[in-house]
Amino acid sequence: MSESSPLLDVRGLRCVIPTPRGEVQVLSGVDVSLEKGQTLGLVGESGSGKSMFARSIMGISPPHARLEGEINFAGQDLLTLPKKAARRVWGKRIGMVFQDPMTSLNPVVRIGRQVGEAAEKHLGLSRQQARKRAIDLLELVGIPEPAKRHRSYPHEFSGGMRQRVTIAMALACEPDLLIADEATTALDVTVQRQILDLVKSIQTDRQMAMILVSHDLGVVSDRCDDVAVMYAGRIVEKSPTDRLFSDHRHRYTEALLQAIPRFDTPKHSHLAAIEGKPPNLAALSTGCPFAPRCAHEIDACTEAMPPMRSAEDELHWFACANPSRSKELLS
Amino acid sequence: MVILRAVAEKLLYLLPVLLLVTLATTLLIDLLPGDPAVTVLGLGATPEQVERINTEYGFDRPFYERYVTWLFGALTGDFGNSLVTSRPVLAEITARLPVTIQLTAMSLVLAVVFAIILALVAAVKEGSKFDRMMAALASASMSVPPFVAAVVLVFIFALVLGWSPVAGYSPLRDGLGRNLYYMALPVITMAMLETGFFYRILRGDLGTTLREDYILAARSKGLGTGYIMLRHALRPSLFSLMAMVGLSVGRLLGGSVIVEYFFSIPGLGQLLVNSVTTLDIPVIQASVVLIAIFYVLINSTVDVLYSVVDPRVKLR
Amino acid sequence: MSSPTFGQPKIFSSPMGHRKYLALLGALTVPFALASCGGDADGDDQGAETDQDDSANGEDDASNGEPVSGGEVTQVISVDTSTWDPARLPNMNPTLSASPFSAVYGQLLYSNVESGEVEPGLAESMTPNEDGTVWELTLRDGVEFSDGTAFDAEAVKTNWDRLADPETSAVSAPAAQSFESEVIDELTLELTTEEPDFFLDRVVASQLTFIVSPTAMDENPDVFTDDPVGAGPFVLSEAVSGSHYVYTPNENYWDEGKPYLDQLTIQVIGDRQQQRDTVSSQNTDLFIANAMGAEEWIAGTDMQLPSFDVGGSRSMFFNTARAPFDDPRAREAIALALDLEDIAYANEPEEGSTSPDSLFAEDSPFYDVDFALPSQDPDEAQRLFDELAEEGSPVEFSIVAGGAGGTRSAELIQSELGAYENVTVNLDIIPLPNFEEQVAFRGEFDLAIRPGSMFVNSPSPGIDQLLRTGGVNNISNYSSDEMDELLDAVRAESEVEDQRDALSEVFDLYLEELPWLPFGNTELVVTHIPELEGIELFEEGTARYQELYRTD
Repeated sequence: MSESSPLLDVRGLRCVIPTPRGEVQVLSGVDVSLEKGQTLGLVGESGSGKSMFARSIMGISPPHARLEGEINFAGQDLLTLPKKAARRVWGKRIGMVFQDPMTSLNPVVRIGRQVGEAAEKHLGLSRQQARKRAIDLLELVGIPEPAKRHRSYPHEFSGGMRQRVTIAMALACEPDLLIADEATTALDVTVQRQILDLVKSIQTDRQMAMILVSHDLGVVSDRCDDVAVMYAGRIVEKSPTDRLFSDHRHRYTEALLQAIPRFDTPKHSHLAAIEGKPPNLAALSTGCPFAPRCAHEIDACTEAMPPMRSAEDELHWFACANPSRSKELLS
Repeated sequence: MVILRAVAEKLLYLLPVLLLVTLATTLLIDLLPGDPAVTVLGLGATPEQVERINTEYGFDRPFYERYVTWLFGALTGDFGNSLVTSRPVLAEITARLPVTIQLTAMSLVLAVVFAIILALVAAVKEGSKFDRMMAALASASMSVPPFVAAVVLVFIFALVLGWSPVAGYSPLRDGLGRNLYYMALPVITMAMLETGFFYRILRGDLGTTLREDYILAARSKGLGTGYIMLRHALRPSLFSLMAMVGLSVGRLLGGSVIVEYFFSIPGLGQLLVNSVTTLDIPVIQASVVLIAIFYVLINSTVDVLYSVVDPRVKLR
Repeated sequence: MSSPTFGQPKIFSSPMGHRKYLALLGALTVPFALASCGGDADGDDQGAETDQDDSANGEDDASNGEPVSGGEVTQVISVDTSTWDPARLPNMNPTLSASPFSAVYGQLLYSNVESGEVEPGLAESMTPNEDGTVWELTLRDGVEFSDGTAFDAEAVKTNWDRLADPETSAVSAPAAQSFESEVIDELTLELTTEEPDFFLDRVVASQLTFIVSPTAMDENPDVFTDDPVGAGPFVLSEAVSGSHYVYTPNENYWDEGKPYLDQLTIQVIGDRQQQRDTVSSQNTDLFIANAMGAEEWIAGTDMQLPSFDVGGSRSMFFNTARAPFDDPRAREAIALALDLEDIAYANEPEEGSTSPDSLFAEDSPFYDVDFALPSQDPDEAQRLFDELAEEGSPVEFSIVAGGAGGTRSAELIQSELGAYENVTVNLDIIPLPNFEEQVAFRGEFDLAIRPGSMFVNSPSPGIDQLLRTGGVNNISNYSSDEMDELLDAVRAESEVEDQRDALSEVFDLYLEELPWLPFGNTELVVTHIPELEGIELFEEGTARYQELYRTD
């Protein structure tokens, strides 16, 4: 991989799912690019398409979903790559941690095996070597007595421990990119932090790139280089993390930020603060999909989808017809 | 060790079941119309001859007395002698039992193997032509009773193609090849129905399993489809199938009565049918009890096997 | 004692041609089906002195050329023999136990399947004295059982005494008790009866023909279960109970050079459809059964279907011991009211299923003895029904039947009688296994349709046992001193002409009284591969296994 090209370069990614009531475009032209070692936070409400984005990259979108665009990873387009070649990327060079550790571990397979099997396949390790690697990985993610516990089944672990196992699983082949899809949402707050810190520290150690998918801006705030905000299948604002907090432009981002609780409050209490519901993707009108919920809607909002434009420099992009001036507002 | 203890415990629970089964059998046989002595002696039976047989076999004694006598005999392995052949009932049954076990086991294994292979392939190709065709075939095979399947199979494989004998049996001691040559059609007849049942249930469960996160997780690890199906998808999908297998043993044993008769396979089912025809009460009684034991044992084994397939099931 | 009984129709079952799957049990009992009354018909002389060689009987494509040794033959029968004990042998039905028995025990005497004539077997001859009260049975010299012990007069007597012993509860006890036997010398046995009986050789041929080695009976507890020892052409080399019997030649067989076959396999196939499939796929070399419609089975195959004309009938029995059929007019009314052809066809819907014109086969000297069943006469039947109703004893009855064929016949009778006034019919359809007990043993019936067919080829024991007071096949409970005397008169005649005359008188009285009503004919199906020769049948259709050979 050349230094010049980004590790991950997603261009115009569309994902269309046929349903009995017509086609639903769950991703409508997503552009994301990520450098080696960089961390991207991907934020949005449920249904915004952030999970679909993560899954599209991993080749696990729903069976009938149609993908268009490019997903260039290390110079190869995963969408056009033969399945077999693509499988050498998934699991080997990109690892993924799923939202719910209660369901993302196979209940009838020993965890050691689940952690080690990707290494066995991709790195050509023997059964023994894979087991040893699994034990090492389990130790790395902080499973006590890994030499003994690798023979246990998932149900013998707590939720937090299980998520550590899935992280070990995703790390098995020392990937260049780790995608954490709501990796802590199902966990309680103190455990969330431990897990996030664990992931962050491993990422820093290993110089991995990472996409941290979350509905919670608080989660991504101090762990990401950049943040991208998704709404209705699009990225509506993207900027370096600190700037997003200080100088966001999109009205949706604004609403999200205002919805961040002051103190740590129980999980899942956050985004309800934004009035209205996420839009029905099967029946989108022209214009900004956030417009119906937006307090700052102007005529231009409903006429056409506002294009992506840069604020100040090339690092900060947004797509809003009536953007906020957060700096000015604050001052 | 744990498994052995579990089996032993199951067997303990089996005792009251067996007591009930034997009691019910004795009672039911009591209700069978007809006089066994007359049936054995034939048309020219004299009342004296009938009385002699009734006394000899205790048919003239009250129900509870016969039951207790039978039970104590059975406990010491003495099931009496066949009214018809005069051979010890135990010898009659042990000559037949392996045949039925072979027939049932082969049918079961064939059905399970076929159902698993087909369901795995169909589940991978969810919604494909193959998947839909298999769904239709499974429904069809489930709605064909064995005696119809037998006729059709005989017509195709024995009469038209000539690949198989119409009926008959060759014991294992005369060679496995010959044995299988005769057993093939009966086994397929019995397996067809079960394959349909097994396929349906497994295909359904696989569909559910394949939607599980851990399958997505496995795919995200870049594992091959075959590996995922076998290692990750199959085992968690087996529970309903296993319950079904336990139940199907009962259905197979019932079906073996018809299939063994139709194909002239000298198994327990055929023996039972012949014994009912000739009112050979000692044989009926022992056969029914044996079939019940067999059935209960299989289902106990299935219970124990759950814990092997699913680590979350704790053995008591 | 209830008079000698011959030809035990042991079991009943529905005849061929019913829809097997509908009545599984019915099908399952085919075993005991089909068969029936043994019997034989004596002809010209009372001895059985014909030489075996000219006893070859009516095979269509009779063999040309010399028999060849070697080869294997498989025969399909309906039910495996549950025992090797002649005392338990229910009848001489070739598709039941008679065939397995015959291969291993051979026979003392044979009675030809068609003519009923008695022919020599292990015994050289059986001849009566002047008045038919003393018979001399002469055995062949040098015959041995397969265990090497001598097949002599003592051995025969031992067997017969065992059958006569009430403790044995033998099916053929009445036959064995009907005479006293005395060993004259090693090869000669004298049989003495109280009354003249010129048909005693037929009784021996059909009821007392299988002789077991007395040494084996003494010493081998398994002799009747697994290890039969006889003097027949074959020995049992493998038995898979419920499946098949494999026989190899008996090294000790008396007739040098026989049997011709190296191996005989008797295979049991219980299901009718499967028997048929086996025949039409030529998976068997030989199949013999009471059946109809066999032309269809072998259509398009090489299988041969030689025709054998046998005597007997499918019949319904009136219970003459209780109302309403204790009155001969009620029985006559039924006979006049029904269309027997239809009932025969309903009973067995196959080609060739008709009502009988004689109870005997064409080859039998008794074939043309006058026997005319009353032809249908609805007016006369109605008159009789009315007459009986007026007298206060209307014809109200139920029909006991079992099996698919019996049920169909019973239903048809019910519907045909529905057209008449003053007659009420109920149906009592019972499981086949209970038929024997309810009808024959307990006599709880008004009209019973006997499952299967009865085999008859001789006035005695065949007809005799249907009509004699207490006769084994006298299901009707018919009792008439006059009839018994007429039956005695038949037995007492030594010349066939006189026997025919005596039988004619029996029939006259029978037709007047009509205790049972034959409604259907019976047929014997023999089908075999073209390479199989030497098919000589006796009794109800059992082959002489020592004569079978293959031409290929």
